[in-house]
Amino acid sequence: MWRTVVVFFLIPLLLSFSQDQDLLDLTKKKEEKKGEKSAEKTDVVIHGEGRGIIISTHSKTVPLPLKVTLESFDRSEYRWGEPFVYEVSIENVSSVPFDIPWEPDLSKVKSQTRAGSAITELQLLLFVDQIGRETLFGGLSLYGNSAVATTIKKLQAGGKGKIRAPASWRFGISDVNQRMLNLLPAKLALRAQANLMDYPVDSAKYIPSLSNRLSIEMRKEQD
Amino acid sequence: MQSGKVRVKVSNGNLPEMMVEKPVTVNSRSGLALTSRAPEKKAPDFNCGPGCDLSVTNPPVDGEDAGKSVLFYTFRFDAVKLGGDGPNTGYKYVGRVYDERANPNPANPQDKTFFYWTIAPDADNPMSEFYKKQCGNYVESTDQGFISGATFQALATNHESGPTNSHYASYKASQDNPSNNLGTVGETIVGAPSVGDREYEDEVNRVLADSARRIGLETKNEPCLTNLKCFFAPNGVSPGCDRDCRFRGYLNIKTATKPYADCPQQ
Repeated sequence: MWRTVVVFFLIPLLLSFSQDQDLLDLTKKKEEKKGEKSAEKTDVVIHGEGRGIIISTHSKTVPLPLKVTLESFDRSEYRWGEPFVYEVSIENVSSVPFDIPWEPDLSKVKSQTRAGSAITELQLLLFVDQIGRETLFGGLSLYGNSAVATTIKKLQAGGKGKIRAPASWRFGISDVNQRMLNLLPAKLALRAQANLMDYPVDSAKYIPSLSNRLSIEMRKEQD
Repeated sequence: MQSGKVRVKVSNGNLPEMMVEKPVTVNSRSGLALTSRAPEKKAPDFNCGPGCDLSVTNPPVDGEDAGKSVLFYTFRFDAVKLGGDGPNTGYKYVGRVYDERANPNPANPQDKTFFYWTIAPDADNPMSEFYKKQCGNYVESTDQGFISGATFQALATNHESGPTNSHYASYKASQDNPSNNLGTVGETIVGAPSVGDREYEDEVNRVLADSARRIGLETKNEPCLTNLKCFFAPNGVSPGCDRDCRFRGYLNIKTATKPYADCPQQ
């Protein structure tokens, strides 16, 4: 009798433990990044340094061996401009183990990486079907180095990892944002895109993977 | 940038408050587009930095390309966050995008955006056996014979770096498209006050990197796709076509088991 009770309690406990191990929850990390809104008296210049992108003609690009599934949003209805949380799962569809970057803090990966050793970046983005794939938003990047076990997730063939991430319903490009507002209210079809890149110089060797569609109801910021 | 209306509440002493409204037109700034880099010819063993590989098979062999181009894109930007206590306080915009690092080191090619191209040394050398074995006896009406060494050299050069139907032409066309050009794309990225500085920087980086990647992938498009013979000619090594996508002859190629065919006596 007791044995049966223990087993009944243990199974859900073990299941939730294994789920936690496969879930990377970025909702708390992202909040730490905010809080930089203080208004300065004078204009402030922000200097940005972009990555390098290298493309060789006559070189082969291969499909990313990862299946991306847009699993869920935290709600089914939103107003444009609101924050939201989404979950994406990533499955290794090749027949061999595949390392994916799993650390959101680039500086942590850099500090553990020996000079000359390769850092890879997994970039996840969302797009609205009605607007087009050219306008990606809700982006997040995970970094990793295969030589540093804590920065990668080894997906066995058929293995899965899940990411929970925060984002906002907003396009950075202002005229696209306006195009979006003109469409609302509407039922929007969302998709995710995953790409694996080298850091800091990306040689665009993979064709990004696209997810399934997931629909939500979207209203304007103010009715 | 968006045009719209500005509404101001006017109050003066004991007079009732008044709302005054006026349309405002916002024009994009001009002169922000980045210009294409000129094509630069390099030796196949030129060290163009991490991830960059200009090597080609020499002499050209069946199924391999006799030339190669590499587009390397690097960028940086200055964005401005508006201060003060006006209605635009906290908004952010990209002031300027650059396609090179600040104070680029001449010894580091990857401090600047570049378009390098190369050609297999034997295809570029009239004294090489490969070059001499291109007999130049191709007859278009019968579709028989080999291309000449000089014609092949010119075709390979044009295929990579020429002004039309080339990888360079694809790069230039893509770069000159305002929807791709990092300078004009940067102009459209506005950050609301609610967006943190770091978040805005990440967003600008991502949007500009997308544009650079798009330019790169369009550069990779093969010219002359309308003429399949340019790609699938038997014993053909790309490129077999000229800038008008006209097939100009077969290549005389040796393999491990087959020497070059002899050229017919003049």
